[in-house]
Amino acid sequence: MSAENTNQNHDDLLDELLPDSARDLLISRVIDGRASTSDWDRFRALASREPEIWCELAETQEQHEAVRCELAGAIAAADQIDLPVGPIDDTHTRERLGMVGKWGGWALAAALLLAWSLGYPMLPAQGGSGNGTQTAGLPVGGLGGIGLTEAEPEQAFEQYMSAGQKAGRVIAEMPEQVVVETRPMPDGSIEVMYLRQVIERRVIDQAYRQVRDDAGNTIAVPVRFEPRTNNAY
Amino acid sequence: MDDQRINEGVVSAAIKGDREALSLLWDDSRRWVAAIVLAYKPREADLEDLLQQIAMQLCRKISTLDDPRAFRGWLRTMAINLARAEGRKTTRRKRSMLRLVGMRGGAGSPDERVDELAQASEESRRIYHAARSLPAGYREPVLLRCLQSMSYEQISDAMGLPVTTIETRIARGRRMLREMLAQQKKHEESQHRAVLQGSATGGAP
Repeated sequence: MSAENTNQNHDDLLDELLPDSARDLLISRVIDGRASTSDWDRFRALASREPEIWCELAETQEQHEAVRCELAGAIAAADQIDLPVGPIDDTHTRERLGMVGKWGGWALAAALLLAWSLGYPMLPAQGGSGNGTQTAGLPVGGLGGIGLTEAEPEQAFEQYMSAGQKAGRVIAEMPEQVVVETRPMPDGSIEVMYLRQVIERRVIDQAYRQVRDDAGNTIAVPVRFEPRTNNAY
Repeated sequence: MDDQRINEGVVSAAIKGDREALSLLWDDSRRWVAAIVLAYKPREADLEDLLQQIAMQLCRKISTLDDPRAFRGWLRTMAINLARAEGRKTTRRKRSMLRLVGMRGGAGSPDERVDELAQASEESRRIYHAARSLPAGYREPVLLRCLQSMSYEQISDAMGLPVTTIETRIARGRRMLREMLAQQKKHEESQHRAVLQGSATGGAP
């Protein structure tokens, strides 16, 4: 009802407007399904004098549809954004982020933040977790018959990689290693500290994004994903 | 009209601290808020990050809203302010992360998948990007009108402008878009012709 009223109010303006504007309004009304009977009469009268208005209408309609489709795709992300579930105590997070920030920047910070969020150890505990048979939560496969406690760091790392890949928990090691610091040693050698990056995977029930509000508090915001079907691949 | 009254009731409840009402409001608004953010945010800014910030501000500040009828305009202003503020920040966290792990532009990267999708609907994307480059006063109503749920009255309510002005802006915005695209096409054709002429004359500089 209000659309009709608005159209009538605007009809008075229509005839006073510049020819181009009146034309644009008519095209717009037709596209938006707001054209009244008198609008259609005006449109037909105009089209009989200037048939190219049909092309303009088709073109505008096509462009409207294209923008509508693209926009629908672009804003689909909005459906995944829910309201925050409430403030959380972020003291520990800040301490951890501050500490790791000195070491490895964002990559390491993100890794530890992930560990904190998921609540599982990403690094093997010193001296093992009692029986010395776990590394990064994975059973030691006894590769080459070497127990983890006796293995050289490289062997232990290889064991972790193989067992992790077998269990589906480790995907791969990133080929590039990030140099954190290089310094000369008294004996003439060079000490290099670098970051090895391993991609792990884990299946979780609920994911949260941590974002800061304008007061600096960390807020956990649930992230919703549409379940993927096999056909989606 | 009924819809309006329901919304006002829901807004009032949300102002008083009703969490469910607030969720309902957000569910009802997030799509058009996203369209407004897209109309104002810089291209490199992340829509999801901005929407999360808006959702947070909505929670924190809804109690400060005096008039429930002003909700749409209030939320729109908040969205525009955040989108513009984002334009002043240059570091994008996601990009930094991808660069650090050396994935940016690599095989099978998200960028590549985006490229594939872009190729699939190159023409629509071109039109969409052209629409996003319209002057702000026109692109916002044009984009909002592309949301099926947004009527002229709702757009007018959000933008704080009379319906007649919204209608005129949408109509003119569409004309501008049509002309802009026609000009782009003309430019491309003349470039294409120049290339063809160049190759016909042996590619001499």
